[in-house]
Amino acid sequence: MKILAFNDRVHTNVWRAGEWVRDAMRLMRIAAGVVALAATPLSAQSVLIAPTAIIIDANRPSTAITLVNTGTAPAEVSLSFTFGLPATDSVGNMHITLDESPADSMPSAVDFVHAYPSRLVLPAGGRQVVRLVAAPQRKLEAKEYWARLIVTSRQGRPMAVGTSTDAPADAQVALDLEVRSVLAVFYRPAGLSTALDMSAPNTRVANGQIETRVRLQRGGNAAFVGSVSAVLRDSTGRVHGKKDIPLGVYYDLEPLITLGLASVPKGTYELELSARPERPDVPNGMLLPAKVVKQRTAVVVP
Amino acid sequence: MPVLHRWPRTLALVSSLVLLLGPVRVASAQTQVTALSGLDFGAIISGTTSTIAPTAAQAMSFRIRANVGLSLGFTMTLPTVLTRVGGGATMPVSFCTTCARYRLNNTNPAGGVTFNPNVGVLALVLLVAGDVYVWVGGSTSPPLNQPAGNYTGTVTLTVAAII
Repeated sequence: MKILAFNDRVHTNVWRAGEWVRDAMRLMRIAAGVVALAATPLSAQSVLIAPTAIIIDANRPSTAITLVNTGTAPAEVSLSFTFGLPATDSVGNMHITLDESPADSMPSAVDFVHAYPSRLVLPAGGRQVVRLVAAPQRKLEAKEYWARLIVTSRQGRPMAVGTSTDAPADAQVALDLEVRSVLAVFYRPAGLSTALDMSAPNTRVANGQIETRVRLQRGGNAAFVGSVSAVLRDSTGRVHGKKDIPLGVYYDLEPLITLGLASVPKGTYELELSARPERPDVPNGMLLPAKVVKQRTAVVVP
Repeated sequence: MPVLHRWPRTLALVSSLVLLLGPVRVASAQTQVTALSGLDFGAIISGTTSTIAPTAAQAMSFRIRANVGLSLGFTMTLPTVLTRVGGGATMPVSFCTTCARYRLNNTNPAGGVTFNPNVGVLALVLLVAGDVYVWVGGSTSPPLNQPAGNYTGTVTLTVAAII
């Protein structure tokens, strides 16, 4: 092992063999310890979660998710609920905003959705079905209620990392990795509906792409869960670009949608935006129906 | 009698057809986060700063796998110090604003998109099933009088499907 550290005794040229050896050993331990937040052992941790969206129907107020430890070491898993909604920032990037203390006016399901078990140890290769049960303590208004399930997993024992073969046996660094997976939970009483209103798109050509902001506002009493598609067509109807953005509109959202122009010739095109209640990660039967909405605008590619 | 003999075969055929034409199953969406490697500072120099670039082989790396197209975001909570087991000391560790990269379906960080690990990637749209590879580098600056011992820290990776 290469020790490149020196203490101040060396700098002052005071030579004391015993102290030098002790110092060298100490520095070796520090080096091996500091060192390596490690190469190999992290590969032991891997947890698979399915599905990514959980829909609980009031008529059958129980569903399940599956956890699989595909790693090579036991994983400690805990499940908890919080409130959270998708949001867009000032430039249209979408993200999930978690809120542990939502306003009373928010339709939060956090208080009445429970996970069984809520803590478990998954052995390597192990699989566990976790039951999610909704048990509201009062009569709920006819609207959709939301929560976010947080599945936290970490390796059952600290990962021994950075142990150097030529380092003292008592010197090593352990790096814990904690993974939090955030999943959407919808609780649906009877009588729900959703709709979407799409404003006229605001489009510009910049950075080698078409950048479009479009304001989406939800109608009805449930979130609009689906996709927005952007299609760029020339005057003959030929498609020069297409993108689908899966999203959820709980109140309103103004996402940025980009289409690359690398292979698009100069000219005037029509950009069509359409929103429909379909997305690849949720079976259609679990999505609330909604009318498809569209907007079109002309785009000049210089 | 010959008709009766044909019943089992007919039933089997009907059963097969029912199985083939039965309800169409949509694959359940899954996400899987795998830690691939840790942050390896190697030999360090007390009193000086050691830095690992996100493109270096010693960088920390993760893989986020989705089996269908979806929008997701990921953020990291990073330690500012490593704590000595048994107490008595900490060691500073830091992650700069360009200390992380991600790349879709490619295990080579060169050519990946640079991002600030202290902020994360708020939204990433996977049009189809895919792997998001993430690399994180960092720096540590142990002072000259850093006590020997075992040091630990926790990195929390939060992955949220945007739905």
